[in-house]
Amino acid sequence: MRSFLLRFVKYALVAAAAYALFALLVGNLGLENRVPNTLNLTGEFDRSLLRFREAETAEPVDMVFLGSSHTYRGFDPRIMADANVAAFNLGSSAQTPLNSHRLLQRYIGNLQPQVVVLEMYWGVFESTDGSEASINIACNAPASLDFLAMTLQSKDVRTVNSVLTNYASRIRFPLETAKQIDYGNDVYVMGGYSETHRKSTAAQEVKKLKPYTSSIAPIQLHYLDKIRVLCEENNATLVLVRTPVTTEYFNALSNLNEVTEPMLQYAAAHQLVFHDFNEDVQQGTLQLQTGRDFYDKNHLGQSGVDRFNAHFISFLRQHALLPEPAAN
Amino acid sequence: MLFNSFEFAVFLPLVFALYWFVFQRNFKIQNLLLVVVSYVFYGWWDWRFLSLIVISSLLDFGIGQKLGSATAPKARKALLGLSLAVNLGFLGFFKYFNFFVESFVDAFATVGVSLSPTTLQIVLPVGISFYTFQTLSYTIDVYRKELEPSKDLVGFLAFVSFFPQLVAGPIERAKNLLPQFAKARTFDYHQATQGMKHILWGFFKKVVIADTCGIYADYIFGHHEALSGGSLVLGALCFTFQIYGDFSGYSDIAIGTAKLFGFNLMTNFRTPYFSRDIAEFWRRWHISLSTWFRDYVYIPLGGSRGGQWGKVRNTFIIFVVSGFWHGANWTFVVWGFLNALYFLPLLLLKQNRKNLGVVAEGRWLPSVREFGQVGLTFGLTVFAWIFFRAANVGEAFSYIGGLFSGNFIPSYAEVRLYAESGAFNLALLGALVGVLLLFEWAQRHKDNILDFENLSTTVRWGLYIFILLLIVFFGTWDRSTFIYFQF
Repeated sequence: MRSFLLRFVKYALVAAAAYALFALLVGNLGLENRVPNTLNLTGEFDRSLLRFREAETAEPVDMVFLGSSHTYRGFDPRIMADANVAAFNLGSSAQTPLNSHRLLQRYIGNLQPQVVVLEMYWGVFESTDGSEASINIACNAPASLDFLAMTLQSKDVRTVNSVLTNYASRIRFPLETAKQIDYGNDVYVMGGYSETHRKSTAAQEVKKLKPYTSSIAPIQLHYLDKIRVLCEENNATLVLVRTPVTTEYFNALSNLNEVTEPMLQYAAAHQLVFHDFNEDVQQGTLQLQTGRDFYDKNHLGQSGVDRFNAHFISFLRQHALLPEPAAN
Repeated sequence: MLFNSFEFAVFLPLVFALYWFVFQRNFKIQNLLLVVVSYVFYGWWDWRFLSLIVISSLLDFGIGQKLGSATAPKARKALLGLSLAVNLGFLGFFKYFNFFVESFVDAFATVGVSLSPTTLQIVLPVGISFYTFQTLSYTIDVYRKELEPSKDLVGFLAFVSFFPQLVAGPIERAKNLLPQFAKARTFDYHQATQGMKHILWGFFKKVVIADTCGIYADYIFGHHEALSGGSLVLGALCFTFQIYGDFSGYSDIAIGTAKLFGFNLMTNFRTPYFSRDIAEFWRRWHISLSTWFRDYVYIPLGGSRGGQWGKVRNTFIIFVVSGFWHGANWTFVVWGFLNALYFLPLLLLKQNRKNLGVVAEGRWLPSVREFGQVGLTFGLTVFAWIFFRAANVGEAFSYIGGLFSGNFIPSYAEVRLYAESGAFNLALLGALVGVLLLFEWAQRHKDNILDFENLSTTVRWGLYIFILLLIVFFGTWDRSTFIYFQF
């Protein structure tokens, strides 16, 4: 038995060394996207590279936004600034509460927001591990044990490989010198926002919609609570919102109550505001049109962002949630 | 609990530690541990079905005891009949009830009679086909007086529920496995290292080959009407390697895991795709099932004795029943029937036991004749797998029609689809299948493909590391379940 265990440990060490060597080779030869179980998202379409680079040295703000693409494409800091609200958008692709918590942990210290707005799109609550966003964040933010822990928590081979090869690649390709890939259809706006110039396909997409259902992974509710606690510890007010999607896409969700009721209950239990702006669209208090204001079935175009953000500011004002301007 | 899951990665070392470091002094306590952990392993899917396996186990243990003391042939037959009725009854109900109801309705519909029967929302208990046959092998062997009835209930429960092979085989014979529970196991270095090699190769076949081929197979079979004949050939080939990698991979992991606990399970696959004829294929594919049917159905029916008609009849019965065992669908019956058609000429011409050794034994390359034989056998099995994979017989024939439709060259859109299929591409998949075939060809005379005893330690470890890196970096990890779990 002893020989077997010793042999096993020896083999495990050799295997770990081989793994590290392979990760180094893959990362430093730029082969991540050619090896099936690794993915390099540095500088990819959601502009997280620029966003996190800016967040590292950003000054304190009044408001921070967290969440998925609905966030970084839905909240424009320029419109917030017009209402005297300094804001930073920490949204990223497919970001779930599990990921939002880690991001907030890292940046709440220097951003020091009074209000944290967490976007609660039902799609991201389905994820049981936040692996997609974990890869994205780890590839675009400075290496940290927190982000590595987030990666390992996913227990997903591809996620772990991606992050480790990405970290290994920084020997040859330091993050500081990484370049944002120019896809030509979005523009990064200081403060973390992605302004889109895409041609709208929303009207065509909604014609093909079929009824669908969603679900809530318990782990995401667990991290929602951790975000709440983190906000409390940092004297920030947490606001839970759902940004608008096209009416057709919203109506195609056939178990809306199932994915909304737990959020409402949570918000009520902790005296938090939870507001689904899709209800405002349904009631006509927020005027959004599929073809004009959305560039796909569930993402606002700039016209929609303008309307929605103005409405959002009114909402904050009504609920006395507009932060006091940050002291200079 | 799946082998390729985080939970199993925690479960296995924990059980190993308890087995060899805490309970090693008493094999009966070890057996009890195995019963408990096996029930946990099985209950991880659905704890409700634990009752079925417990009932089957207790019933057959009791029947075994009674058979031990019963001498009257009628009474012995009745006891065996009870075991068969209950076990096959469970299997029949959970697996085939809706199939028979729906087939009954369809049959009446063809003559214009419309029926509105009740079908039930029946969940198929994982592994029921496997453990049912395993426990039946016990009662049948005791009935035949080829095995003494077990007096050790815990040992018997452990035999039926042994977690490495509980849900997808190999279907163990009581004569082989039960005695292993009746004696102390001592840790054997060689056995344990062989076990690790089996596990490593099993994961390669499952995660790298089966699950990756499955992506293509699923797409192509799901969209076959819109694809070219060339793509359909690709789809059939992908499924051929998917089912082999999936099933033999599971068997390897099961065998390897069992070895870690000091148990030897039977070999279930012996490089079947290098068979020179269909008879050899069926001596190398799912050996535990084919030998089970041979010993408990074919031979009692008369086997190859009797006239030509008897041989033909028994052959068809065995292959069709074996096909039906795989699932409640006419496609499996057709698949079995097709294999019977392949096998029959060999049997009637007494050529079914011609190729008993390994192809190209002692040589690196096969002869041209052997290459042709292997190619033809492979082609026949690939063709038969189309029925196995198709959702229904109509789809299978539609697929086959697509192969010969004349539209064989893939369109530009199809080629782009394969080129853009995530981070994977056909060339890479082909290379990985090539690795599989190379290793299996080089080691075709061995039961353990990674048993490279003639090579130096450096080279051996290099090969193991190579396989491990392929698993980690080239495996498909988000397609979890094993195909044979549905059986």
